[in-house]
Amino acid sequence: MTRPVAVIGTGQTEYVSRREDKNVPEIVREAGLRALDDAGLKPGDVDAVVIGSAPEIFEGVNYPEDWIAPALGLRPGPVMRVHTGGTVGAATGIAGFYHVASGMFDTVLAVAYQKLSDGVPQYGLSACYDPLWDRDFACGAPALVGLQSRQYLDRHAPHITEEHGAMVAVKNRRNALLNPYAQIRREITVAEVMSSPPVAEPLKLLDCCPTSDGAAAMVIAEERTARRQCPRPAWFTGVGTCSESPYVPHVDMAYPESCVRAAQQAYQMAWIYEPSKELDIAEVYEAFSFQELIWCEALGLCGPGEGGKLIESGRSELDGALPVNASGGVLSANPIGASAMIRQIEAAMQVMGKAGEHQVEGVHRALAHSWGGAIQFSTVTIFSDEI
Amino acid sequence: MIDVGVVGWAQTQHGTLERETHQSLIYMVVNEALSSCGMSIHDIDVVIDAGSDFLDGRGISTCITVDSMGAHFKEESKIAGDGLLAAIYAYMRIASGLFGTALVVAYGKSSESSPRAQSQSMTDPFYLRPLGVDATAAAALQARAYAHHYGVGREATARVAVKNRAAGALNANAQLRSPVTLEQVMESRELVSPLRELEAAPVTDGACALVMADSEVARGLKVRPAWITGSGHAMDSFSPGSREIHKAHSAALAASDAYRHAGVSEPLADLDLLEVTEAFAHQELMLYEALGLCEEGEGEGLLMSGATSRGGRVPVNLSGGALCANPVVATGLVRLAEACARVTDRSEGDRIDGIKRAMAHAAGGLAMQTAACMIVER
Repeated sequence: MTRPVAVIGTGQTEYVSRREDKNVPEIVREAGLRALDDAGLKPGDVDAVVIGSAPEIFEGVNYPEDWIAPALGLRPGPVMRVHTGGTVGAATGIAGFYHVASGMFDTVLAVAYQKLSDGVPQYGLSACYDPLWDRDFACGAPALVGLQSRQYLDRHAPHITEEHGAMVAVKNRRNALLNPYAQIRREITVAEVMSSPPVAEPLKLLDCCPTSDGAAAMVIAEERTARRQCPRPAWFTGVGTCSESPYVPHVDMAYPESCVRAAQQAYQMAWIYEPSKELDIAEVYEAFSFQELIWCEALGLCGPGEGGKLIESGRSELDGALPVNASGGVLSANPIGASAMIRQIEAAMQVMGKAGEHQVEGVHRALAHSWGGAIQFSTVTIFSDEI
Repeated sequence: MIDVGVVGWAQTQHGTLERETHQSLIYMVVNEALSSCGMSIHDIDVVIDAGSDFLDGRGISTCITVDSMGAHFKEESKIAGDGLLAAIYAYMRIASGLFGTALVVAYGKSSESSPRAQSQSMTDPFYLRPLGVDATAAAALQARAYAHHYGVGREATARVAVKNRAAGALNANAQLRSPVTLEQVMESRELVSPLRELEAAPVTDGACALVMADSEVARGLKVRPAWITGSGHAMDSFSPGSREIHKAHSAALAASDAYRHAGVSEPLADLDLLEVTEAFAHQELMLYEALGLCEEGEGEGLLMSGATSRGGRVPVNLSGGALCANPVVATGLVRLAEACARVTDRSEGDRIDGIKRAMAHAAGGLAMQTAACMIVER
């Protein structure tokens, strides 16, 4: 049995396409102080900081943690930056978990951020490709996920259609209306999604996430601090990550094995046998609409090829049996480095009963998922109201 | 608390490695580290790695290194910063009780990059960037402040280079393997006043990998482990102007945590060896003070006493240190591999008896803004 560890406070900035009043260290500070405030702690109570951002090329500052972390206003101390691409926000929360689970630290502040308006996001993402073989295509993220979505549609035709993706976009944008931090808060229809301009076939504009500026933070603590500071801590009960080879033709993008394995590991740790029945809510990293269905299948929230049925059934709606992305998801805000931590935060908030207008009744167990790289990194975190 | 040992390690022969790719360097050290302890990649539960996007000219540089690290379908996470920080994270993973073994990988291929641009890009875009400050300029300001504050003579820093280059001549993995004289150092080209070429680390390609295991696994292997008994890491303020730049404050903080864990109260007596990251010669003197080997301002005296030389009370950088090979990102992890080899008496060739407890140090940021330390024991 490992040392019990919980999220006891969360903080987010409002996500916007361009944050002009504050620079990167300032938005990180904003989220960090909100999380400390939420946990009823002061900067001096923090033993260590874990910080996460996606490629530093986004903001053009190398080793950005050296610049950003001191702005949190803590006394000089341990700081570690995690850097795992799209999963980094979650990998940062997970590193915070291990800081505490190892017994080396008792109270850790985990922060993640991105200020995409400081650079050119698709340029930064294209730099991930191998300079000799792949970079000439410079396809960024939409083209890669376009391939993934096409593979998924073709594999399950006619049971999965483009309308199913549109339904995800409609559901998540509707949920975002209840989330004060979301960037895109507009009711849309399936017809509007279907007629929106093409981006990378089969993805249309409204199937895609926005680019965002924003930061997110969590206070992670051991049991005694957690029980003292928080009436209902969100305990880490399952943690799994998995990395996969970058060679795209090897990756089954429609049913990514890294996601399946990360989930298996987290479920095993959390003693979850039937995820679709035992989980009360899920936050998945759907940067593009079809991905929500793909992840739900790989996470075992529905059977393979049943993503279409899942979204049609209403089961993943806010008032369904297993709401998915009650926050509005990544489709409603995507400060890339923070997005995976936002999934953890939203899952933890649901367990803590602090999700506000999009709070789902009776959440005991929540899942947060993320993906990164060339659909090759996956993380799954399970939060519970009991150890 | 779970006991964790470093059971295997490997480093490249550092230099300008034009014929190697990032992946081939990684593959080489991972294989060697595993075979050095009789393990296979299938025995590894988690891989923690360190790399630098700016150095590699890539976004998310791990995207393309997963296979070569052997991390395909494994738990894997990347740390930005020195590999010694990755080692600390790997240690946490095992100490949590959820993993039995971990592989730590760090690599850097500076010859493909512009070290100057790489360090200039570490400055913030508003205040320092317009000044064009890079790592050498920041270190020069620091060297000047340190010398001025404590009245340290020019010769003292040059003697650090002489000591470490002599040590590097005995290290088969070092990039610079020729001893230098005091005159050669003093007369070498000035980089940024007062730093001279032979007082600065070379531009190096290299990689390092380490295998860690919990006591149960480690005791089942046929090799002697280096037990981890303490670690610490710390970050000082960002702007060089807002720090006491003549002190390695982050190193002092990191070391004090490591000493507390390991029960070290008097470093000069309790440690048998130090491997520190002195990208510039004066930094080794500053580190003597910050790591508690001597009082503030007495680094020069300690060096001159011979205590930190080969055969001294606590030799520092028997490997030759960063001045003989500086594979950025891997430099601190190499220090740990060197420390492990010494405490377990598994060094190849050059052997020194009686080294039972050693500490490795890594530095990061401009003018040593950040530090990491790890203590290993026989």
